[in-house]
Amino acid sequence: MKFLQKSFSGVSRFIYETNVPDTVKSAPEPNEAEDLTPQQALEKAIWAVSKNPDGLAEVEALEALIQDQAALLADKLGDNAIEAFNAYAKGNSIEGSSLEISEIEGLAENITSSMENTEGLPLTETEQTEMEGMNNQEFLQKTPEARLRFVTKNNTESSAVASGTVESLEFTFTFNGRYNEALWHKTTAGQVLPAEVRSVSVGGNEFFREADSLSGEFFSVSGERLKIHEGTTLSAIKTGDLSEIQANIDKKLEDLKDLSAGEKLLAEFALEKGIDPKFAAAAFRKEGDVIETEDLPGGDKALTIEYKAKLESFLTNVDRAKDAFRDVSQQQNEDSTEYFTEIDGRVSPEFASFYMGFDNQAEARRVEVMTSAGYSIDEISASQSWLTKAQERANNSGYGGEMAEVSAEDLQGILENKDPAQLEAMFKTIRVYPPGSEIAQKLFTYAAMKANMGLTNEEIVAWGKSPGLHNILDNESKGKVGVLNYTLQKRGSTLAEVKAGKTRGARSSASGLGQCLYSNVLKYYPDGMDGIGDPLNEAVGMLRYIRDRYGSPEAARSVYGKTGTYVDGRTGRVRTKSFREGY
Amino acid sequence: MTQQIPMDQLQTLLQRNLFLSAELKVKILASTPEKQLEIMPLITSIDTKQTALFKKALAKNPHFFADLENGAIHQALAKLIKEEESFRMDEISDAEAQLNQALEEI
Repeated sequence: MKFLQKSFSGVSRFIYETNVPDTVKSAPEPNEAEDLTPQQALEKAIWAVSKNPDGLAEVEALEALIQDQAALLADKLGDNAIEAFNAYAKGNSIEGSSLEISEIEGLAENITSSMENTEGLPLTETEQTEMEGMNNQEFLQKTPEARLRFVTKNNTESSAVASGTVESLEFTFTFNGRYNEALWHKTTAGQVLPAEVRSVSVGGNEFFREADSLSGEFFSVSGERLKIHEGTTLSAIKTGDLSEIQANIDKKLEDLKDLSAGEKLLAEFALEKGIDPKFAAAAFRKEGDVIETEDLPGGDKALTIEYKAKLESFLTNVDRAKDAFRDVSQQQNEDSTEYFTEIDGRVSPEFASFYMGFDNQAEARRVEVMTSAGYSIDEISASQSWLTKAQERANNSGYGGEMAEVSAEDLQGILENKDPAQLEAMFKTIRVYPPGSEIAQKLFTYAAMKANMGLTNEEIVAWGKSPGLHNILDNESKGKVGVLNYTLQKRGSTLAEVKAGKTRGARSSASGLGQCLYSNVLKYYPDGMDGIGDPLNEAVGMLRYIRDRYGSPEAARSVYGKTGTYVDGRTGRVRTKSFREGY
Repeated sequence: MTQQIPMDQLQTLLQRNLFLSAELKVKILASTPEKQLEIMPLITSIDTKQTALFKKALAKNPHFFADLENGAIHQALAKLIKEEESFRMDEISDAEAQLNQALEEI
């Protein structure tokens, strides 16, 4: 019958192949009227194709109507459409449909798995080169959504993390095989993780975004800020709904309606980072500073990319200061674990005062900023005396600064040598202190006295002989004074260059007995960079770093080469180490 | 410069796609231009196949779209009825349990 239809009537292959029902085939041309219902228009188009199946215009018109109807149906049925179509196809045979449906389902599956695949596009050669020399300020000029891909091992897409499909990711700051220390040093988890991420786990410890912060930093329950390093792996990444936080921000912005457009944008960004906008504005802006904005299409304004990057860097620094503030606060009030950076959404006067010092601001500027941020004279004065006391305690804790004077009497009961000057002269002549050897123990015992860390005589002796300390020494430098990290060696760097701050682009600036990075050399070596290559400077710096970061060599050894928690040997607090390399 | 898919083109294709979930469509629209570029050929291919499939269905049944919609409504109703039945059965079970308890107490 079908054959007859085809040959006798000369109707098209289309009719033969698609079994157009008789009602359609025999129908006269539908109404030409303009006001056809969608169904009538569809029927007319089907009729037209049945009459002229090879007519491009007819086929295109029908396809356009099908696509319109499909859009309407998808809108009406939502996710029920797939189920409904399968049920329809089951009850009404459509020629060849099962194969086509399975092909479509295969394509849909491919799209789903592609969207779930968190691996983004690898960095191109140009991007690698760009990242190799990029600093944090430049990095912050990228959109927040774009950043994560650049600093994760699998080039993880921010959108994938935000959608909650990513459970873990690993950070990297190595581009074209070179470690970008400058970028690592300032880049934080808050800057690269999308706002949807509310908590993460590192080495079994949880870090949370503060409840009022959209895109601020992550802190542990004890207030420790999450720091990311090469190889830091985040797991148990949990996302959350942002509507409540956004609503709170909007509410706070309503109270700031008297601000200028630029001031409002600055306040909004500070609120997104979970920082008191009044303090942020006062501390970030100096008198006469103009808030740099640009016009958007539609008449709105936005902060310029460069200005926003500077502001973000400042706001991150405020979050960074919270870590240091916690330590100072707890030193100041050792019986208490309480420390308040903010009270009712307002930066506490103590933290405001502390931050200005943390940011190396002069006394006059501190008063100016606090006054501008709305603190009373009493609050400013009380916070200053609190800070002075805190600083005195911190100075006595032995971190950084000059070495202690050691007299012959001080050496009694600690070392058999009786002349400190002779001892120091001897140390200068020795270039290798084999870990665990008598001479190495002597150097570190004497260094523990000079480091001014507030240790008792018994503790000084114990530190000098500590198996944990000598084990770390063995792993880091084999006891060789001034030894350069292998990446510096590979680039042919000399000790003189490293002392002058030149690393030839090596991925690490670590050197000396404790393989301290530049940042730690500057902080802990009595003579700063000049101390590189000097046995006593390197030993003192290594001990001070251990005291500051871990409290004791045993605590440092307990998490050496791994991530995890440890009990601070000085404060007894549980702390987290989020990087694997070394100590 | 990264090649980008025009957003309205992507939106149109997704809007009329009956085989991808609403959640996935949102995710696609929110993804990076690189990701959109990567999956665009797949979305276009579904669109072509879906149109061809519907053309065949329409050739056989010009009321295909209306029937599909009605079928979906029936399915949804059947689902609701089933849920209601199950809820009522739970209620009856609870009432029966309460009655038994009351009887035992007597």
